[in-house]
Amino acid sequence: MTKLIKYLIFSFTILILLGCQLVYIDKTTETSTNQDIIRKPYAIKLKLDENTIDYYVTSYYRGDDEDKKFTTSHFYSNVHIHLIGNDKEIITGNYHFDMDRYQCVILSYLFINENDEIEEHNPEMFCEDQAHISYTSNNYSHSFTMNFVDVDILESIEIVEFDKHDNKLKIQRIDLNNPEISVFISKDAKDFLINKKYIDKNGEAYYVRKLVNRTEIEGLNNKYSYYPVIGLNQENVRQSIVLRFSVQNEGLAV
Amino acid sequence: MKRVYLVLIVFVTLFFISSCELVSSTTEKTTTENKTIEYVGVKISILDNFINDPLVDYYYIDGEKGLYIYDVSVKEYQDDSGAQVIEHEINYHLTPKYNCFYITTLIRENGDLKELDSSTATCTDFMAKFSHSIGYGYKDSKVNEKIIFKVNFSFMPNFISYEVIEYDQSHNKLVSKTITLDNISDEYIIQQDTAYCKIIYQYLEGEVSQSDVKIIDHKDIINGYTERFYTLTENDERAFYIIQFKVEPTNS
Repeated sequence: MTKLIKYLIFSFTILILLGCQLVYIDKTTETSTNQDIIRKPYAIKLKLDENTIDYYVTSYYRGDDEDKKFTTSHFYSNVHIHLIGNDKEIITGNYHFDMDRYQCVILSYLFINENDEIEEHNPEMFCEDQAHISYTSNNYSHSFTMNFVDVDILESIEIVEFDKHDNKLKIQRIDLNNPEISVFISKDAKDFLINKKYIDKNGEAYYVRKLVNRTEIEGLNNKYSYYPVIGLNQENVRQSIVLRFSVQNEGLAV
Repeated sequence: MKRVYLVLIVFVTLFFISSCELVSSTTEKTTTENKTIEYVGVKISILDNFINDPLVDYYYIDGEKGLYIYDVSVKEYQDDSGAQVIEHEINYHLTPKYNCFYITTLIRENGDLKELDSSTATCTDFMAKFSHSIGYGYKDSKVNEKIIFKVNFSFMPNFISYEVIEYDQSHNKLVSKTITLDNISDEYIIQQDTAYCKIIYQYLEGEVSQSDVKIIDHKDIINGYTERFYTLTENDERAFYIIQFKVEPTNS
């Protein structure tokens, strides 16, 4: 009887071990097969309507300037990119569009297939204040989260310089038809105001103001060498104007 | 002999089934237990060097907060593990007398408000800045979320003055006025044709003079803008002043 019990325990142990080994071999084979076909998304497509589509090219493909299929649009702000090695990218930021005109945004990942063609994966529609999509393969993951920000008509941009007694020194009015403008701030200015005038959907004017100390644009640590302003033009078309600030005669104008 | 085989096989099978059930029920219990806990806020305690009689303020995630919590920001982001994190960053002042602190998490468990765990009490030298964080992950298998309470401690400044400079729509300076503790009042009246004003807040951080500048729009003031200034008193006690900004009334 004892022999029989020993025999049975032995047989069970052998069977369990064999089972475990089979599962392990199966999983390893599966992993190595999947690793061979890891794909990284080329870009994220943000579609407002058939004629209004923005793209965000992922960091993995950002460097390939020669063969770019899309370029990242200018309608993002406060973009934070968190890269972990080559295997993970987390992007958060704001996406600006006319929320009175478009109620929803369709987001999807774009991939390049073996024939160098674009493949679109699983479009998702978002109608609240935020969109989040993610993609995961075996050893790679990507996450893209955007908060939606409404855009109104941009009526004017003024750059107002103040002297050390806080008196107005100079006003520069920005040409809204030019997509990129260099703005030179006088050496005598203590600080300057970026004064943006918008018109809301009820026709009411409002101002968005930003006061900048001149020291913040001096030298190589210029925090305002790229300052995008997003708004609708008089034809209700979304536009982005990039202001590039530097100190006059500093020789560092971009 | 066959019967013995059968009996043994039945016993072994029963053993496996019961152990599987045990594992499964334990997991479910943990999940259920975690689901009932809700992190609702944080209690901030500051103490003197003798670690007695703490001064206490509360911060609740629904926005309710103590008077000496001078600034709060809430950030949402994804961390390295892919979890959705909500971080509540709370700014709080110590004083030379009350220079020790600890924070305690507040939870609601089955409807009852309770204190969870506290950080250890830390004392700091004058002018040092400290941060204490407590973070929790919701362990529900379906929800990958975390909540973090980060409390930044710095020393209460010494208020010197605030200056209000009013500008019209063409950016001409209309008037400027400097307010010190000698002429401070609980309201500040701006002119009707003021489009915006600069508020320059000057204070001492230790021995070092500092200033912060804000731009406030006419519309903000119409909507009931208030400013709050914190300061140490002569006896090293805490104090604050709330200034209500208003537009001067029309003559008619």
